[in-house]
Amino acid sequence: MTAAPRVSVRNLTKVYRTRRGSHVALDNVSLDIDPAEFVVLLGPSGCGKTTLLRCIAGLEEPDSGEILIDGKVVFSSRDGIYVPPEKRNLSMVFQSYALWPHLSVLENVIYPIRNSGKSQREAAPLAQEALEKVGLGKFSAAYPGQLSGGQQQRVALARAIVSGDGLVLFDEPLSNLDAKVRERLRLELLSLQTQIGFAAVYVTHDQVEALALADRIAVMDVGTVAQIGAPEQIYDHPASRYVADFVGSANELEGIVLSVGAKLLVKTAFGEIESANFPASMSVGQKVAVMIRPEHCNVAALGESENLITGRLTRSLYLGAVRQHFLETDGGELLITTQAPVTADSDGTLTVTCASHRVHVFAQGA
Amino acid sequence: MSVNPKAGTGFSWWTRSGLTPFSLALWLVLALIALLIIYPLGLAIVYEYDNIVASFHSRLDGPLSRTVPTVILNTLIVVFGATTIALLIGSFLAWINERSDASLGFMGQLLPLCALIVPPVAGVIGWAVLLDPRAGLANFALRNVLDVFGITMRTGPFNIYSMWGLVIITSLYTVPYVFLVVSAALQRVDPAMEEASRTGGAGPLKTMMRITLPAIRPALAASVLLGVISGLSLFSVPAVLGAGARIDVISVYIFRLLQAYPAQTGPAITLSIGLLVLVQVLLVVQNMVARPGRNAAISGKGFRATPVRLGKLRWFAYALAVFYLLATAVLPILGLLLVSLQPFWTPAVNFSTLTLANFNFVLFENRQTVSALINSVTLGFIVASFNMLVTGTFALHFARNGKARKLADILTGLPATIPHTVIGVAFILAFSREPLRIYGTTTILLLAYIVMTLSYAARAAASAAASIGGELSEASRVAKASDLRTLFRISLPLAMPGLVAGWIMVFVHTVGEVTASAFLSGTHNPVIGRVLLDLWNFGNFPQVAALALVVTAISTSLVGLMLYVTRRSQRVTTS
Repeated sequence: MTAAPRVSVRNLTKVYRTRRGSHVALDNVSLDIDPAEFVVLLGPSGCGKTTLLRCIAGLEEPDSGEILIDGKVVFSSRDGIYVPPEKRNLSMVFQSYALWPHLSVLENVIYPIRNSGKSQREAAPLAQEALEKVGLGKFSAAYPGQLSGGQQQRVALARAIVSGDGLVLFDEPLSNLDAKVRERLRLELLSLQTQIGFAAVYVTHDQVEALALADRIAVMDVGTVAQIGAPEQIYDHPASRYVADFVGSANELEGIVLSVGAKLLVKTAFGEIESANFPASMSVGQKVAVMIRPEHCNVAALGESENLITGRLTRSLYLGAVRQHFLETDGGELLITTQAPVTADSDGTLTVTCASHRVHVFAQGA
Repeated sequence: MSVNPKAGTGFSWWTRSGLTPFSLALWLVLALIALLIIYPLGLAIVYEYDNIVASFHSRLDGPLSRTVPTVILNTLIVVFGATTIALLIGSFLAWINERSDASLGFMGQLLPLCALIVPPVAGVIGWAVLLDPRAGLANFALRNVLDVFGITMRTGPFNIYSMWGLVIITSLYTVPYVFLVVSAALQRVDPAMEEASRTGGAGPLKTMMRITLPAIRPALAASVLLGVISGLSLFSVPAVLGAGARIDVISVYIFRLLQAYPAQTGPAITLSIGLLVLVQVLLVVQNMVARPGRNAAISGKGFRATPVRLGKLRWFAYALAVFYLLATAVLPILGLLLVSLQPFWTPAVNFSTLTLANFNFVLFENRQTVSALINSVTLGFIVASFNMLVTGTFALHFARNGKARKLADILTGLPATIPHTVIGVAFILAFSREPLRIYGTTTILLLAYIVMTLSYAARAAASAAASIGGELSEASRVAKASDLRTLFRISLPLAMPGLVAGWIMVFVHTVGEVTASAFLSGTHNPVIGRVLLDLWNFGNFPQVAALALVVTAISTSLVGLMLYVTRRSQRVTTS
């Protein structure tokens, strides 16, 4: 955080007006992205993540706020500044690849360099080099229509990195690809980013992708940034029920605070539960939401006493890497995941435990 | 450029309002074209105001009071009769093509283009030489066949110069409208709806009656209205057949009012306004009916429907399609060919006297037909180039400016809502006096054609621009290309096949145009449409046939080129 941010988004608001009314796509959003930082905008469809990306690109014009790229104002509602995309010195990778079908692979990659004033003789080797970097050096004469989806997106990637811009925007670039190709490209993208060192803003609705790629994740919720932080922070310390629910899966139950101290004691349908992970302003008698991730529940060994929940094991699902188990308790159903198979006791019940620092408590409505 | 806030303000104003000098010029051109639509109509009404009032007064007791109701009745019979037949044939063919295993393939592609491949005026003349009660080639052949069975006739058995002739030939040229609208609607209906009905125990027929037809009801209604509107404006069919049948429909009647001496401009403009108002009302109704259709179960998956098996009925379906193509294209061309190769029109073709003299006469010797051909082709070239340039630039330049596009859509769509008869009348009345006395020149034709084909051009340009997709031009802008560079390097090359197709469509329409040509062309500025009608009325039948074939040849080869271009571009972008 010492260097000046590559992108600064300040109080950005964008409202779409339709015949039926208006829809707030961005509501006073602020965000800083450091040079060489990989920031993922994560959220469900309609949360405004793509709108934010397009505003940074200059493809949409916000209603108010300010955007700075490398310290230069590219949009300011107050000063009436709007710099068009071609003058913002950034690159973008689109969901549909957006390769120009009438140009060859090489011509596609040359295009942005030529636009920044270089001659054809300077541009061609640069483009070829970029194609080599994404492993498509042999395909420079081919046309986009002759390539597979994964190859096309690699060309788009080469086109984005070729002009050496310090900022590359990604609009769900991998969502049209098969799972295998997606995982490979994810790795290649990461190594390209560390190698070249551009700042990346990456839009996705896939939490696995977000966790894998991001230096920081910005979880978005109807036009606002619900939480921004490192993947671990988002996952282990979600700031709200919304974030906890959207990133990873969670058992949720309602409760009432019984006592406040170093730990919080909450009365829930599963019994009394202790939490070491709660907001500061909690008071006795307050209604709260308790959240426990399935993978943070373990089968209780003999002598363990922390947050024990007992239920009848109704069903176990084998998912390959992990196993899912459904426990029917007096207070409702509890989902847990384990690596190893579990066996119920002779009466068909299972007792699980969850460390108190893994139990999240949120004020009701947060 | 915009780091300095002060410098940025001016820049921002330009881009935000979308008004660069370039787009300003575009708007100016469009405004001029709009003026070209509004000015003649407005001026005609202003100048002829007294006559209009007078003709309203004479409505009940004047000399026109007896003929006008008959004309209106005739028009209604022709239009509704033709539309009914076209609805049955057109929607059946569309259903076959979209939903049955008798998919028409290439024929299905040709079908909606029939009226382009063979200009209606050539088609109707072709049918007239086939089914003229006395000298009709087909009638003569039929009489010979009937003679074998002991039935001897001197005329007939068919008479094309009749209400039936008018209705059926008009319906031939209404079928493509119905086919296109219904096909589009069927493509939008999710086949899963029908599959659900089939798995729910309903047979193919019940599914069609209970599910498919109700789902496309708005489209059916819209195609009826479209058929009525096109029937009201169709001029060539009644102009060729109506005289012999002594049946006047409104478009031809207006023409004859203006040709009479002294010209009866008052009644002509009054009837034109009536026609215009009627068409506008029908269009409003059509918009109201068509709107719910847009929201009807659109499936994004694009799965092909499981085709309904027709069994032996398949051959009936094919036969109907083949019969339709024969009727609109092949048969009339054969008729024209036989007549054009004879020294004079006789039903008993003497193969030893066949000659190319008529083509020689039409193409090289006759001053009137030669200059008509040159004029029409030149006008077609200029009009097509101008209109595609304007609408194409507009569609591409304003691809992402919704408001500008909507305004341009309204302006360019306007001419499609004005029957050509009305344009003809308005141009005559407005441009045969100061300040713009251009009646009798090719300029007046040029202006009229530009107005009349503007909507075709705009529609072709819009679909060409839409096929590019927003992300391709956005990717170019992000890749640091200026608007102009994006236009010339990305958008224009991608849209080119669509624009070429549009150019050809406008050219073909212009060369085969009859209505406004009849009104605005004369001995000083002959064009093909007018000369064809004149030759027909003077009885120079072999020359008419030869000239009609020349026009058809031009149209057919260009439409063939258009099919080639669009098919090739599809291969490039999807391979």
